[in-house]
Amino acid sequence: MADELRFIDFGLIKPAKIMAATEAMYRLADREGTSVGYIWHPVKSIILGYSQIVEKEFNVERSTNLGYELTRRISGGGVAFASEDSQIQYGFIGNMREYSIPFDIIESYEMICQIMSYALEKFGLKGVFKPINDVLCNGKKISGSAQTRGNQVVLQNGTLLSDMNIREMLTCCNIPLEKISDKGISSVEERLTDLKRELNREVGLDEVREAMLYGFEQTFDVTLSMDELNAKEKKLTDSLLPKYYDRDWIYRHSSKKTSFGSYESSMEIREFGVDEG
Amino acid sequence: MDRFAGMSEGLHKAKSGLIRALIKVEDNRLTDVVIGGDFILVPEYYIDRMEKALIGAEASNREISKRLEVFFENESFQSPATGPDDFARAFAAALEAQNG
Repeated sequence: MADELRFIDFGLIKPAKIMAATEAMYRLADREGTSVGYIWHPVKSIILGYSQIVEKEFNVERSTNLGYELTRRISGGGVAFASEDSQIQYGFIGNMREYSIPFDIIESYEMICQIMSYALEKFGLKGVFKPINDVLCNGKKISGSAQTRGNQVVLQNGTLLSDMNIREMLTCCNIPLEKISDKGISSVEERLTDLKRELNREVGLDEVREAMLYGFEQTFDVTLSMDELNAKEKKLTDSLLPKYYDRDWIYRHSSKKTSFGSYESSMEIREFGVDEG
Repeated sequence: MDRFAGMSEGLHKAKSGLIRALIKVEDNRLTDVVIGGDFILVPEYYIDRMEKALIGAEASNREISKRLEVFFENESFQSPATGPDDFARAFAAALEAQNG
């Protein structure tokens, strides 16, 4: 395993931009066999998993009126919902051989989710991995992750919740407003938690950021080499950015004329005319 | 235009997440298929291939299950804790909605 992990802190960023950067880094890393860790502070956003159907999951009008930006990621799993200043999200693109990442999906989630467990340790909390891709704190989900894989690398994105606005989350969901009651919120709070609730105090995002850096260092036994996107990554990010605003990608199920017209990962680069070099 | 108009929907909660199957049936055949949800299947684009593999199938649980089993056997992807039976159950629910 390497002694150093290249690391990027994107700061406050829009979902389309970070998803474009994620795909750019992932594609280039998969070609070059490199690794990178990164974190970002999401603006109010809803990032759908690859297979989720927007109209079935969310009330787009209510979400937009509340200021949420919507996009879709290339990895599967569930939605990453970020209310204002509610969390820090992370990404790890790791060379599977260099970091001895298990082929088995659940085992690899368990390994990479240690980042969250170590981050929680920094707050004096215990994180417990719950297969397939969650980390629990005192029996409630505090972190979820999603993963995809290339030929050489694994990409895992995830989040550590610090102060989640559950009422707003439910308002964005495709459920009748009258069902968004205190009881409904309590029901979610029985399954979902955040650092503010667990610590019974305000938690600054700088604290969360520091804890996540610690999580990366401990999990992979590395020091972090702070960096930014290189020229190739910036160029590919710019080329991919329109995709993450594109209705055909975000509404990929309903924009298909038939099942035969769907996107496939191998086709996306060509469809958007991206030159990876 | 509502992409899902005229489609029947079935849901199944698999261990890796919710599977949502939408089908359009004409002359007792699946003429349109959408599989959505928050389940885990890597690489993700195999779900698009799974949809294609079901187009033209007879609208019966037996035929759909058979096609799903063949797809899982022949294609190279990972779907932890989620098998062809899970997808078949979502489609069975969609067929039930279609016929009900």
